[in-house]
Amino acid sequence: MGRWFGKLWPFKRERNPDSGEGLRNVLNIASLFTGVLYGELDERLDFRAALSKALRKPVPAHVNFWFCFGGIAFLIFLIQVVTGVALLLYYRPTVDQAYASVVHITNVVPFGWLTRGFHHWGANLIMVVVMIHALRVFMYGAYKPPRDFNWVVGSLLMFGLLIFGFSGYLLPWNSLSYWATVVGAEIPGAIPLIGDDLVYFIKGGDTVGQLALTRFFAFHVVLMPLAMMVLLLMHFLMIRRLGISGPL
Amino acid sequence: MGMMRVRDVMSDDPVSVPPGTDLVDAARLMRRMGIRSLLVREEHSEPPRYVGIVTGTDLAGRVLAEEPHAPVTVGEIMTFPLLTIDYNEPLRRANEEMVRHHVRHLVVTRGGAPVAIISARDLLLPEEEVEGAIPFWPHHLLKEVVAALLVIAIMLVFVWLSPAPMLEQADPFVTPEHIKPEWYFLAAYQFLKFAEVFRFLGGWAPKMLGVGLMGIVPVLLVFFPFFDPGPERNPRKRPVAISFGIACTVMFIAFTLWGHFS
Ligand code: HEM
Repeated sequence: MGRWFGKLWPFKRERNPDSGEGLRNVLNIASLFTGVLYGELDERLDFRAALSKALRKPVPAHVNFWFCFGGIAFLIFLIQVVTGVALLLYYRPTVDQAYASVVHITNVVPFGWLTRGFHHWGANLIMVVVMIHALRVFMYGAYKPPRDFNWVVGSLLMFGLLIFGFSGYLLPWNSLSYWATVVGAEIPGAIPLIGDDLVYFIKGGDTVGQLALTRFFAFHVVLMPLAMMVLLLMHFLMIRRLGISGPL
Repeated sequence: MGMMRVRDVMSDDPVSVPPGTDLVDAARLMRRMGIRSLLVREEHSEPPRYVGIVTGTDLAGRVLAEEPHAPVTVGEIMTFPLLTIDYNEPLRRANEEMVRHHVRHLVVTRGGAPVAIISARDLLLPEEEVEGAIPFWPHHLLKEVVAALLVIAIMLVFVWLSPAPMLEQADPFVTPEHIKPEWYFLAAYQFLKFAEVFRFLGGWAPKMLGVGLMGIVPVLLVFFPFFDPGPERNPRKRPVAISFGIACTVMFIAFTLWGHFS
């Protein structure tokens, strides 16, 4: 069987004559997917050599469980991007249709409930995870120079997430989201001088209506994702450049 | 797990030349490729059969030092037979081999077939190398993938046990009884309610002081490193900062719970 398959499979390689050729050829199919790092595609494009410095970068021994929360936050952020784009295919950002479209997503669209569920839980879990991440950084004194600017970028990321949460909450246009927004949007009004203008800017008018929804929608699906990606890029570049903070 | 192996630092895809190669060409090739050794392969062998190795040190010691009767081809100065080491051996073994045979390069084999080169330079451990470090690829990445799958599994269980809520449609004319923000805004929300205690100062006070005090939080958060720049990182030796951090965390949790249950 293996021999037979080996004959059919066009990519043949005879580097290591003593291992089972048939099985290896079968595994080589996988290289069409993993090929960036291993196997046939790598043989042609040599990504592994190009990436070898990055790939071999050693991870120091003091890096423990608590260091993984930044990575988990990033994972959840990616999940939010993917599920968010999927929801965007069916969501309709108008006062008349927003609620109905969310009901439709939940009850009719295949796996809509799952997509929405992941987006909902992701939004909540990323907050918890980022708070743990920030606490880890705080406890390890990893915010001290030269990483002080990365703490600044990190806190901006945290505010970005809060704006994400606030703007996303209104989108289903249900009773709670609507009234929480009505109340929440008034709070900056207490800021001296700019307070009233800020409230007007948030709501796009005197009441929370279609303009507010459009505005929140634009922030939630375009502006904030772009801002977050820029900040994340800065965050990661700084980590890469400075390395992870050393042992205590 | 923590041990570094030959495969973690070896240089894949060794460059090789036939024995008849002119030494000047060999030197130029090494410079162009940014490498310090060339394998010598048997003429017309495919896949290549390696018979020897030439290094930068050989070019100096066996060529320049022999002027004016210097050899002219790679085959004349190469070192042979080749010393090999399996790609799974620990780095310590590679080091021992090099010391024992007074060489700086070993051919790395996998299942007996040569696949890479490891040099003494590769043994000078990479930046940040400390005892017990593991290479990012694949050891660390594997852990990351396991962690990622775990996170997705946990989210799946949450979605399954408690799906995203489906409330009734918004009605601007009907105010529901309990309007509360998302949990991560609850602490701020409860603090603003708490600021009512400042009413004795005048009607303006609760809102202004509440929002004003609350405005300190983001500033403190963003600029915290500049308030506490000292080099000490060990939490045991930073009692003030750590107590402050714990106090803030406890306050946040307390106000969140208060907001939730009030
Ligand atoms: C979307 C939010 C965020 C993401 C995806 C993220 C991601 C990461 C990742 C992957 C790391 C590598 C080390 C680790 O995971 O512990 C890291 C390090 C760091 N993060 Fe974040 N982070 C976020 C938010 C924050 C916040 C809110 C802060 C602080 C207020 C912060 C401050 C830092 C600092 C100072 C480091 C360097 C730590 C060190 O070198 O030990 N980050 N971040």
